[in-house]
Order: sequence, then structure tokens, then C-alpha cells
Amino acid sequence: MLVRSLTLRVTVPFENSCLPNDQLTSSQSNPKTARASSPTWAQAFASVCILIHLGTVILIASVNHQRSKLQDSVLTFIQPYTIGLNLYHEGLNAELVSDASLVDQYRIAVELQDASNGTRTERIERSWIPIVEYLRTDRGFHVDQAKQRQLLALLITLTRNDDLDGVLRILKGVVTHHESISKQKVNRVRLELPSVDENDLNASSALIVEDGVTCILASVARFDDGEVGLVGAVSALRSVPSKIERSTP
Amino acid sequence: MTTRESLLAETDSNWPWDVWSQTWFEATSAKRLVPIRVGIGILASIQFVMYLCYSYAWLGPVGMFPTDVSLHFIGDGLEELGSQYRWSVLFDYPSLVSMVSAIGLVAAIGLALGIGSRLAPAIAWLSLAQFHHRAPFLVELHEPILAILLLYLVIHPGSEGWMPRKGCQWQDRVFATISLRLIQSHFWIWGAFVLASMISRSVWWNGDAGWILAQRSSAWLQLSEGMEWVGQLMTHLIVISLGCSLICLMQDKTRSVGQWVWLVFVLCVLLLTGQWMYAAVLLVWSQAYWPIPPRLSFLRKKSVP
Repeated sequence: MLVRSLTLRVTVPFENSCLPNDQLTSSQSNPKTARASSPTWAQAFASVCILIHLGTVILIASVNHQRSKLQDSVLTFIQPYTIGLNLYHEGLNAELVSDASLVDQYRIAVELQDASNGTRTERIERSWIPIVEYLRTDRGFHVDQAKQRQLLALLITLTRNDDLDGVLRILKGVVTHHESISKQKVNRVRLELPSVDENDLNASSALIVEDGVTCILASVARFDDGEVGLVGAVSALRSVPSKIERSTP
Repeated sequence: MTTRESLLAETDSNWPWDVWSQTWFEATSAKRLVPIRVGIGILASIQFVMYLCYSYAWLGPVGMFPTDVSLHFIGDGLEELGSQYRWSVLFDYPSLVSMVSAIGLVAAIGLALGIGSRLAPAIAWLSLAQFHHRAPFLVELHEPILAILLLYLVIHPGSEGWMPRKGCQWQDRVFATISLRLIQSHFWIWGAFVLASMISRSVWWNGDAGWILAQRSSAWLQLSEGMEWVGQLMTHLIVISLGCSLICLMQDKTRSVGQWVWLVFVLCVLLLTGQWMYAAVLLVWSQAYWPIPPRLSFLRKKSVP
């Protein structure tokens, strides 16, 4: 009897939800009866689930910037739930504002292999082709403009953290993609940061100034199996090659 | 005896369990979920159309953000970062991005049209999650909100077509209540923490935030030199309107005011960020509060003559 009643209660919401008026049951016209139709144990179970879920949502929202050790432990414990459901998100928060003024100024440009002819000035003007720049010159509609912004925002974070390895990994993907669609070989690639702070420039071994442009510069290396690799250029003023390998996994 | 106590006494309730039970488990008409379902269905359809347009170039086999780069940034192999819980078929089969987008698009259209019941939001969410897990660093502001709303609609999608058939009536559903309450609760928690996040930074107090956002080329409102006051005004409007709308949405009497204040907030966000999908998702999300929800029974007893 208990099984029968539970089955009925569980299956009711899955039935055709549009019934003729004269077939509506009394429970639908009487909310209290409708509420009472779900068993107490089911309500208790659902309540626990709801509380855990909302608690998780609050926890994730509260660790947006900083977190305590307790929060960190709990978050690690519930990773299968939070990461599995991809519950992480941010809103109109501080990061959005702090990156806003920078994203527009960053861009990724490539130098093609056949761009070595002509005078130096001609080569500079012709060779560096911007391939990722967030609405810097073109205000036309691009469906992926927000993705470009996200990519450049990620590069900003990596540059600030002096993570040359991370930057080169992204640039490698961009170069590979550009070569596959343009059918042209890329000689060098650079991430341009026109208005970088002087302190940042001194702090990072990855940042160099070339042709008046502050950038992270890398040359494309090609292996026998066709794989493409990037070799980052390090500022000649500093001799800290270990920094390049710092974040290698 | 206070008003609250007298109301509770009238309903003969076992507070707080009865209030909790009435809030979450009192059957509600699925009609309440229709604007959210249709809105999210349309926005998810737009999202999947955009995925169809660019996802292959970004996440495909030779995309700009290839699998190995993504695995590196999610911390593949580092268990403490939880990368083992990131599940996406696009890690192993990046060439399926267009197919996953197409499946998601069909499901999202079905959701908007009220076809497919729970299956439609479930498939749309699964498709969206493939992209989010594949490249979490490229996820835009509106996408996680879209995903969680799809997940809540799986509990009850309110799918009875655009409107019930002639001669039919919406049925009350406990699952519809749970779905609606989760959407409402998540909305309020999100808003409260966004507000807390904003007011913890000085740029939201001194008015610089609006100016900084307006300097970005994507902003719909471009401010020139000498127009700083507009940026400052927008900044204050965002903070005040978000705070006021969260307070107003909590009470039936002030909810209609809150709706207009929320519109001001969304409009300011749209003008300063230019992210129309984000603004649209926020508008649809707020539909959970738009029609006055069924009142708690202890309030209803008082209002019904």
C-alpha cells in the first residue's frame, strides 16, 4: 500500500499536465491539500537537498575573492558537485572593472615567414598582422568577440602572474589555428601590451620592447613530425632563464 | 500578540516547518515558469547558434584554444584542482563541437516551444556543459546563469506549450514550486553577493567603475572627456538599483517597484558593458519574481476577505 501510494505521488507530476477543467482534482484547487499530498519524508529529504544546494551556492559566491581554510576544505570536499555542475560564476564584479581598461589594449599579432623583404620600416608595418584584438579597430559585429575578450583577459592574468609558459601555450594554439585557416607559415608571434606599467615591465622577464611595442615575443619552431613549438624571447637586460621553466608542469 | 504571531496562530501552523513547507512544497501553477522557460529557451537557442558559428574555430581540432591548452589550465593531473570532475566529450572528440551545438540548439528550440518536457532543458544543459567544461576560462558572464537556469527547469520545465489548450487549465505542481523557488533563491543569492563584491571595491564608491567600463570599446555608452559625471552617475545607479531591487523583491507590496528598479540596473549594465546576452539573461531570470508568487498561507489568510 505504501509503495502504491508513493508511486502515485511520484508519477503525478509527470502526467499530462493539461487536464480539462472538469477533471481537475480537488487537490489542485486546494493548495493545502496539494501540499499535503507529498509525504513528509519526501519533503524532509527534498529540504535537505535544497539546503545543501543553496548552501553550496552561497559558499561559491562567498569565495569569489578570498577564502578561509574552512571554506577551502569544504569546497575541496564538494568538488564533484560544484565542478561537475559547473556552479562557479561571477557577476558584475571587481575583476570585470579592473580588466576593462586593459582588454582593449592587448592584441595578438603574427609575423609571416615571407615578410622578410623590403626596408625595416616596411617590414614592421607589413609583417605584424593582428589576429586577435578585441574590437580595437573593427567595430563590426563578431559573434566571437566576447570569446576574444575572455581570451585576452586570461592573457592579462597570465602576464600579471609572469606565467610565460601559459602565455606561450595560448599563443601556440592561436598560431596553429591561424596557419591552418590561412595556409601561411608564421615566423613569429607576439602579444602586444601597448600601455604596460613600468613596474610590470621590470618585474617580468617575459616582457620585451621591440620596435617600440612592449610585448611578449616568441619564435615558431617546427619539429620533424610537423608539430609547432614556441620559443619565448627573454629580455636581454635580464638573465633569468629559469623563469621560463618556472610553471612547466 | 504581534501581527506575525496572530497570523501564525490563525493558520495553526508549526512554524518554521510549516512556512518552509508552504514555501517549497505548496503546489504552484506551472504557468509561473512559462516566461522563464520561453525566455531561457530563446536565449539558449541564440547561444547555440553562436556556438555553431565560432566553436569549431575556437575549440575544434585545430582551434585557437586546443584541448592540450585547456587541460593545462584546468590543472589536468592535479587532483586538488578538481580537474578530474570536468567532463566533456569535447576533450576527446573536439570535432564534435558543431554536432553538440546542433543538438543543444534543437533542445533549446524545443524548450522555448514547450516540446520535450524535461528532456529539452536536460539536453540543452548537457550540451552547454560540454562547452563550459571544455574551456571554463572562455565562459562568458551570462553562460553559467543560463546553464543553472536550464538545470532548474529540468525539475519542472513548465512545458505546457505556449498556453494550455482550449478548455484546459494549468495544473498545480509541487515540482513547479521547487523549480521556481530555486530560481528565485539563486537569483537573490547571486544579486546579494554581486552587490557585496561591488561595494568591497573603492571604484564602486568613488564612481570610477562606470567610467572605466564606458572606456571599453564594447560599451554601448561611450563617454568622452568631461563626461565623467555620467560614469559616476551610472556607477551609483548600478549599486543603488541592485540593492533596492533585492530589498523590494522580497515583499509583495514593494515588488512592483523592485521590477522597475531592476530594469534600471539591467539597462545601466547593458549600456556600460554592451553584453546584451548578459542583460537579457538577467531580465529573464527576474521573471521568477515578476508575477507575484503565491503568498505564504499566513499572509493569504489576512488578505482574503
